Amino acid sequence: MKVKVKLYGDFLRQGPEESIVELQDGSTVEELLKHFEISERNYIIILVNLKRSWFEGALKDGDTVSIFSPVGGG
Amino acid sequence: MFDFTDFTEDQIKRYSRHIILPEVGGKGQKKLNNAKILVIGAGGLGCPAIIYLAAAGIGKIGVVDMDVVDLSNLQRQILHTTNDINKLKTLSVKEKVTALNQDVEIIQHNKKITSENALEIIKDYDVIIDGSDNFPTRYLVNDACVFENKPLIYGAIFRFEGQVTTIIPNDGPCYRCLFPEPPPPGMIPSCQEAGVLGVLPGIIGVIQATEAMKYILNIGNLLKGRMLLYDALRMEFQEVNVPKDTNCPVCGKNPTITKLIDYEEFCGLKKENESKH
Repeated sequence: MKVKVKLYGDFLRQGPEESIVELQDGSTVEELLKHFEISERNYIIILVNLKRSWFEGALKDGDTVSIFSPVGGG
Repeated sequence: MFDFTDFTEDQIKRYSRHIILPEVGGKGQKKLNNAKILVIGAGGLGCPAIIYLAAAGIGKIGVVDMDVVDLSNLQRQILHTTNDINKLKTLSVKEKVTALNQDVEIIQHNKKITSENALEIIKDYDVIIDGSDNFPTRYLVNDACVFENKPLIYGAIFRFEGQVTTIIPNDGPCYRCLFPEPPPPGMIPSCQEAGVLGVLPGIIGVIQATEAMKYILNIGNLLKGRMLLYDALRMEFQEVNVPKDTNCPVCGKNPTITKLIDYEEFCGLKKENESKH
């Protein structure tokens, strides 16, 4: 299956702004994070099709995944 | 029917574009005139928020900031001018607001907000706007607002990204429901280290002012339980639903944080001081 992945903020260090990633059917968000070598698990917000998702969340073909970190500036 | 004798002729003219809005009206304008809003930080987020709140006639605006204006602030902190360099930010704000609208009283809190004074500072205000520039203050303000049951309009910026949400204690999630603990010092670079697009805090600060006014007016849908994520480069707004976490360390069923905490950052080392709540 293929999912579209959009990286934001500091996670842009881990890959391009937007990419299509091919994963095995039944893969989870956790596997996608491993694909990008993202080890952060606390300060991270993941949206799948604009809805908040968690690491064990199952992905399906055609999903769009957005990955953010908290920001603190003012 | 609202009694317009509460307003002067000038006030009716000044606020006429509000008064003709059915959602605001004379009654709503009076609520704005009687409102007390605290803005933490007179910087990138605070400046645009404050000036729109002042234009709207918010009766009392408290401003917490201990800094003086620096040349490097002027690229985004739009209330301060070149002539204000080395002036207290709260004084600079007061001068601009007074020139705009004398209906507004500016309360200068020229101090750092800490676990010792946070509850005292926020207690007299109806709504708190967080425009601070660091995580230790953000967690302190979140916890203080939960303890004092004060609505908190959270906004934060970094490089080209902004995040904003409205926290209504006991009626929705708080910031710790999303991120229970502050990031370790040094993990997330500051705007000073990584830069920020000058116009970005304008967009986020004005959204914060909008939320504060909606709360005072009791109109529309607040960003309660939702965080708005803005990306200026992509020119995209996205929204994250933030559920209340029953295990939240500060607003959950069995809170483990019952006192305010000063998270300090010294050269990448974290020092935690607890003080009495």
